[in-house]
Amino acid sequence: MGMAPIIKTENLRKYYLAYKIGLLDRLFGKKPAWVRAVDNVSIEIEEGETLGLIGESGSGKTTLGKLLVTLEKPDGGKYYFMGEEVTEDKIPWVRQQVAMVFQNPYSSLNPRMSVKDIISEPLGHFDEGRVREAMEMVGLNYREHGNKRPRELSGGQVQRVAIARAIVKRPRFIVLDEPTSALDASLQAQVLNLLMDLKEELKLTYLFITHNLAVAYYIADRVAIMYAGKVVEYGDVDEVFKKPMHPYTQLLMKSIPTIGRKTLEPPTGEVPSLINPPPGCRFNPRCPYVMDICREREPEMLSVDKRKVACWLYK
Amino acid sequence: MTKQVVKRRVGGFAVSIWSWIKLISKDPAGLLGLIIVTAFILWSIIQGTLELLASYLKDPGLGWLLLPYNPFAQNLAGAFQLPSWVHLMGTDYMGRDLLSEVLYSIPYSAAYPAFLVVLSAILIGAVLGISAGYLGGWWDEVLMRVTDAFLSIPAIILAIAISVLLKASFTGMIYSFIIVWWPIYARLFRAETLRVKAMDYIAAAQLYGVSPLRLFFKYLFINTIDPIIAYAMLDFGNVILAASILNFIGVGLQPGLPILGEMASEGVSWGFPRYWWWALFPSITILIIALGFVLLGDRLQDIIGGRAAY
Amino acid sequence: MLLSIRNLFVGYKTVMGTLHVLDDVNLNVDKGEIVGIVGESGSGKSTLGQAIARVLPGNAVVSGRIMVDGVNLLELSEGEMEKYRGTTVFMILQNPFTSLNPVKTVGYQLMEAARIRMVRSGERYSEDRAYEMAIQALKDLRFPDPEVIMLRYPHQLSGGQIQRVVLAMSLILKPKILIADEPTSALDVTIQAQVINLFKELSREMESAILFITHDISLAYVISTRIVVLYAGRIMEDGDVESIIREPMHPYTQGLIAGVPDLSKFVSGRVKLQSIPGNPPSFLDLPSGCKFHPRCPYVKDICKVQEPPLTRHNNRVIRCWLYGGG
Repeated sequence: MGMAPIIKTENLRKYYLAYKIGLLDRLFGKKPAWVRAVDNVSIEIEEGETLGLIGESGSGKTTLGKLLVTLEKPDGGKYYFMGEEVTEDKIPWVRQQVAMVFQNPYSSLNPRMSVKDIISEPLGHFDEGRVREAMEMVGLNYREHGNKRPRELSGGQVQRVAIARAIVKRPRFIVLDEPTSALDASLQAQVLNLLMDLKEELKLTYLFITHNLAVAYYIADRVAIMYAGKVVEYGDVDEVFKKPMHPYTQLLMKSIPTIGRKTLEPPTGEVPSLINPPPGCRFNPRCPYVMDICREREPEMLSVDKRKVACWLYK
Repeated sequence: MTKQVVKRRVGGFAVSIWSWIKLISKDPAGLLGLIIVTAFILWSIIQGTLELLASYLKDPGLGWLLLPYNPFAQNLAGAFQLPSWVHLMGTDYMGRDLLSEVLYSIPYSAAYPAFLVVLSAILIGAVLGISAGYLGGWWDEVLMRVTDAFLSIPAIILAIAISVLLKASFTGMIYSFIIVWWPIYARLFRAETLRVKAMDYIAAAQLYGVSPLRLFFKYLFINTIDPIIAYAMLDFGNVILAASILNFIGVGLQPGLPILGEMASEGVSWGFPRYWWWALFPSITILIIALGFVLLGDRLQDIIGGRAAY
Repeated sequence: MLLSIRNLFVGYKTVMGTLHVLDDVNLNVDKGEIVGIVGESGSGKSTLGQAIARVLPGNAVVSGRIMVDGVNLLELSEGEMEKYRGTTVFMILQNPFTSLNPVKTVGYQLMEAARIRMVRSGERYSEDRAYEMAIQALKDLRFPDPEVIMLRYPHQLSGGQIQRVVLAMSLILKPKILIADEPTSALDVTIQAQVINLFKELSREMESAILFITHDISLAYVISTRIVVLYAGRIMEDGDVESIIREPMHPYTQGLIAGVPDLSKFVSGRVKLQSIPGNPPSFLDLPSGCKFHPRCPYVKDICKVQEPPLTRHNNRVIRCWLYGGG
């Protein structure tokens, strides 16, 4: 594993307008409301590692993934790729070296293009040799599958095409957004194992986004847990799973159905609004250990051993 | 149900055409529409080609090679003959065989306006609608307001007004139709573009730096056109009817050539009710052609919309 | 035996011929049991639920018997089946946002359910009583302000809340058979856990025979008393939840359990996930003999030629030549 962080963000922010403001709305003084999808996130990913980004819907994990491949532009904070700050003019350079694999295999491929054209697209021109190679690496056959359309393939095969497309130009960094969530159970293991093999072979770095803790445990070296647009815990995967520190992480682990344990112990309450998050720590309405300070001030990211936690319990 | 499709030995495209035909035919109305439209298109192609060759090679005889009679041949003595085995649709006021006139006029009274207008409207609508849907912002707002304005006025009235302004000729009529017809296609393309824009493969294309032209054709246009095809089928019938209506009131005519709508108009003004066939047959022809498109288009919309029973 | 399914076959007529989906489905469910029907997409599990509720699409072909308290549901006319829906058979669907009528309030819909319950039990309808029943059901589902929720429209609720409203409906209706078709798949992990806990609590109160359809075997473990494994439209294994998980007999079940990432596996360091090679088959092109044979590590010659029947081994029902077949 390399030493230098290939990806580094500092207080990265991305807000979306909650609704459109038209001419008349402006006349009547309607104030814009912002969805704080990613709110001051600072993380690092080292070269060659897999960072598991864990969160439920509305946690901001997909938005963070898109920010890192420059599909979205941040509203605040800094993003460093390979040590260089990513400004507007650097975006094409970053895009040369990154790729993304999306959750729904069928909607991530153009239904009207053949498999070989889809895989060749990132290259800018058709290159049979490299397409063949990429297909072989993911376990597909150029002659058999090359001319097919996505709808003629099964879910597992389609996701392999998406992976082949992601690796065809040998990127350094790939964001995988729930790549196995839409797949059948019996195919998940196949694709996860394939991803791990490819990472070794091609010396890749992964950001693996998932809501499934077990998958994250299987594939990640370090994990970052996101809640309501913020990273609440961050550290080595074995440590975090054996001794989760943040109350949300602890409750999340008790909410996942696990063979051998018949009871689930989830947190109470609903997922928070991203437009009007609770004051102070975003998790405070649902936290079993809530204290007064939690309702008043947002906790900073504290370092405990090699772990980072954003929780007043550890001050 | 998994998404695999059985591979057949026959080429994939031919199989799908045949299975479309089977699907359409399951509904009797759809089948009738299919038959009428196929006959109409085949006839227009064959007869239209003959007419073009005739004028190009300066051999008018080619134009009525397949017709029972020369549609221009006058025979004043044999004017206003009742429909009979000799003249299946009777003769008009100049003694010309009505059936030959009708068949001769089908390509340019019906087929050319329909295809010219609809295809142009699709092209213009695609460019404007897709760009508006994809780029959004003020361009989208402008387009929406413009199409709103056009769509709030009944198409025929607008077409007539513009035609008259542009001189009441055939080309004037075609241009006025295209002006009136494109807004709905722009709206349809825009709506489909909004749906397609949300797909991950568009995000992937952006990420991999696909050129705008390629994005337009291979990603947006080709994936948005499906519902438009079914709608266009119905629309061919609309254009044929609208063109005939304009022809009926004297707009969009081509001097010297028999035109379905004009024949119907003359038949009604001068030959009705005594020489009823002169009004009836051209009108029925227009009706049947338009009906064919409506039945076929309806069935296609049912199939594409998933309402078809197998 | 409350629900008894015998030799159920379901096919669909399509442009490309008749798809054979479910075949030789034999299943008994008693009241109070929660049977987890585990299958991947394309296993026919949703079709099974829809067949019992008789809400299959128009091009479906069905044969066999679905006996509820001695009545074969498949022989009922549509009008007679209407009277069975709600109080005899009730179904909870996967997508919460299309489960409720969007133009009626929650209160209206719950009271409608109460009215159906009352009419079918021979009680006289009383609006006050219906309101009471609705409020009580919402309280049981842990809604803090039931009176407020009664006035809400579905679009004002979150996915988890809608599923709880639907659960409240089933509490009111007290159906004999409750079919839950992936009711929590569209929900967030923590919300799913909340809904599952409520589901378990209330299933005891309802005394229904519950079929919980899911693709997630870990979830099936948590919620079921019994697990039925479905593959390519056939039941492959059927047994008590603890023993089937600890000692799966069918190679497919074994493969499923070994291949699914589950925290229990990783307790002492990471274990490589075993994957089942190949893909689940399409119903257009089912393999001969045993439908699992192309992917089975223990395949024998007979598996390729003849489909094994369902046989009983102690408390397990299994379809596999490894265990004989009579």
